[in-house]
Amino acid sequence: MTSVLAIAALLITGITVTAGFTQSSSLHLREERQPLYWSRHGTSLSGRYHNRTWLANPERTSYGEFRGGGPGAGK
Amino acid sequence: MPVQLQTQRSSRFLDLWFYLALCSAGVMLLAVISAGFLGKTLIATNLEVDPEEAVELQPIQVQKTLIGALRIEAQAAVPANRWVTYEIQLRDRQGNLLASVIKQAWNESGTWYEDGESGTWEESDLIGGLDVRSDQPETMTVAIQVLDHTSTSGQEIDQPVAFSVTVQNGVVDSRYLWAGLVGTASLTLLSLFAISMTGAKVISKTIRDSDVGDRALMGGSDRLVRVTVHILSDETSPKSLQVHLFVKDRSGEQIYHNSFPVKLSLSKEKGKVDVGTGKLTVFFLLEPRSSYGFYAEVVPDGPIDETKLVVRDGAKTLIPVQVHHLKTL
Repeated sequence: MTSVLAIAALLITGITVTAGFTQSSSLHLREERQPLYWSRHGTSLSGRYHNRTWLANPERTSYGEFRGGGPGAGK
Repeated sequence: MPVQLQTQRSSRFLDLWFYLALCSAGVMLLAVISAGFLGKTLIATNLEVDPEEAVELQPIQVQKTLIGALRIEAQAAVPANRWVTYEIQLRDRQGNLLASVIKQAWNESGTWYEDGESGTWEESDLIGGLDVRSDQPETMTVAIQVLDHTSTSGQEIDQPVAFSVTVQNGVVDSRYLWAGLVGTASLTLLSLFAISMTGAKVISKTIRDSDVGDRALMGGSDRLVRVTVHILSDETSPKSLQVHLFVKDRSGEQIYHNSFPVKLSLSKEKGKVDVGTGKLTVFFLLEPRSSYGFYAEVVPDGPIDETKLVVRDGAKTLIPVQVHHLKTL
């Protein structure tokens, strides 16, 4: 019983330390596939890579529909 | 048959798995602490960005690093009831976009009314950030652009927005480390409770009286036997009582007897004792492996409602414990 818990704890340590220190969740420049990307502070990517070049979303300059957050949102 | 009795404190049966889990939680704690010291600040500046404009910071040289990433964080400073959509851009030496992220930031305040009471609230979400890793050393420039700046009513605001921006290199992602710390710490806590359940339960007997006993196959030179007596007593419980513990060998001959004082923890109701509970744990090393009988008698027996005997064979301990070594020669 304690052996299972200890092995699980070791696995968690291995995975989280590796992920944290190698920054696997960061944006990898010029890579088309970003399977592990994890955004920070709710900041979303506004484009993607194609042939090692950043293609920005064309519609990104029109964000008129954004209506903020807070307890008043949606009321 | 002569029986040899030796009593000594032993650390032979420590549960090393528990300590392994504890170590991994310790490693996670160190990782969380060290993460705060990693990362070198390249730029920390304040700037004002005009509507629809992009403001570039000074160029930075980024080397490929083994650990961590380049972290850009921007915090917009706007008055209450404003919405700002801004973009953090990374540009290469020629000014081409390397990457861009969008943050929809807001700062709102207002008044709430509930059940006749009222007050003001203020909430904001103004920080945006991006971590990037590069597969090659390169020179790049961070730029901030305001895409949209309006009041809560949707009216365009033609004013510059102030930002404080920091750029750091070699930063690790501490979100994983915190998750790992919480995970390993809870597993360590679980295994702390699991230690008392290590070993095979060879005897578990409950009786609504003051004396309980049973026998089973157990022991051996490297198997610790944990004997636990749980006591449940009524409203006439004393503060402490005695448990007489007997061990009998396969032919029924008594080979050990001792009496242990047990303190009762009393739960009170309206100032009067309601029930008392007590627990006695004794460790044995029994040689050879054979059938042994355990008998517990609680004195005084008047207040005793229930007695439970649990014997676990092949148990582990958290700390070094007193072990009674009984060897039949």
